[in-house]
Amino acid sequence: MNVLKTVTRKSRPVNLFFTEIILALLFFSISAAVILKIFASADRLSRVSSEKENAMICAQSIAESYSQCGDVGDALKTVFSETADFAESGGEYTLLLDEKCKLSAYGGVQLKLSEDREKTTAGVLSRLTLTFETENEELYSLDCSAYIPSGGADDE
Amino acid sequence: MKNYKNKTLGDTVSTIGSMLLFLLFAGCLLIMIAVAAGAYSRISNGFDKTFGATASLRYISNKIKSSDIAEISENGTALYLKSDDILDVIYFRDGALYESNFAADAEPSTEGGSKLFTLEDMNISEDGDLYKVTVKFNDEQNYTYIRR
Repeated sequence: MNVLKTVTRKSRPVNLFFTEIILALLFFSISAAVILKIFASADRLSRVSSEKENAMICAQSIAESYSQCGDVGDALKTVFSETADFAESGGEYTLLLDEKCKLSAYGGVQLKLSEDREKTTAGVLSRLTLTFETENEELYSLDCSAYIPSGGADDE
Repeated sequence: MKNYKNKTLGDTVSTIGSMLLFLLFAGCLLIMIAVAAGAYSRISNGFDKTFGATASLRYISNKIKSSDIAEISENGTALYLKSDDILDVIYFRDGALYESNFAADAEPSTEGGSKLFTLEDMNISEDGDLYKVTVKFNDEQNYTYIRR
């Protein structure tokens, strides 16, 4: 004969406040992770945007000066410093700048200038490409040119 | 009336645990608000510093490029730009950059005008065949060169 055994256990009441707080914390931590990521991204974008704006102003100055004189070294001396020595390597100049585009030995922005000269019977057409890089990524690039007339075909 | 005599140690620990968790939640919330305020302030300051100065530099350089004749006046604090029948005067006065338009044959002055930007200083000089425009904003000096 089967004997039905019943076991009665004393159940503890569920703490609703505790459960609610746990759920709120869970939701909060997920939201916080997303928001912190957005803040970090906004901060980085703001920094890049600021660097880009300064790079554009700097590039404009170099391009204007280069278009006037047609020489990279002279253009760099006009814009940065008359006393600085800008070393050329294989037709390329590389400068280290800070985020405000001022010359700096520990700068985070690298400015590369590459010049290409094309001689014609009427003069020399020089093309200059300015490339600003930060963290091995291109920040801004500008092409400009200068035409230096040589006085006509008779000069050649 | 509630009878608190039946409360066990477990109930007390549970209540304190809940309160501590709530405290943690409130603390994290405050930290998040502080981080958000800091990030916003940093972005806002950076934006003001960069774009406050460069916007005025761009404005002046675009005006010089679009004009037929540019003339520096008043020790580099004023610029007279002539194009067609209009004389455009851009000048710095009382911590701001102003602009006035006159007829080409009228006598220009650096009074009145429309306020363009708030700046600490502005100077235009000639550097060889280039104009050098220098502006000071938020204790920071920015400059650009423009062909004549």
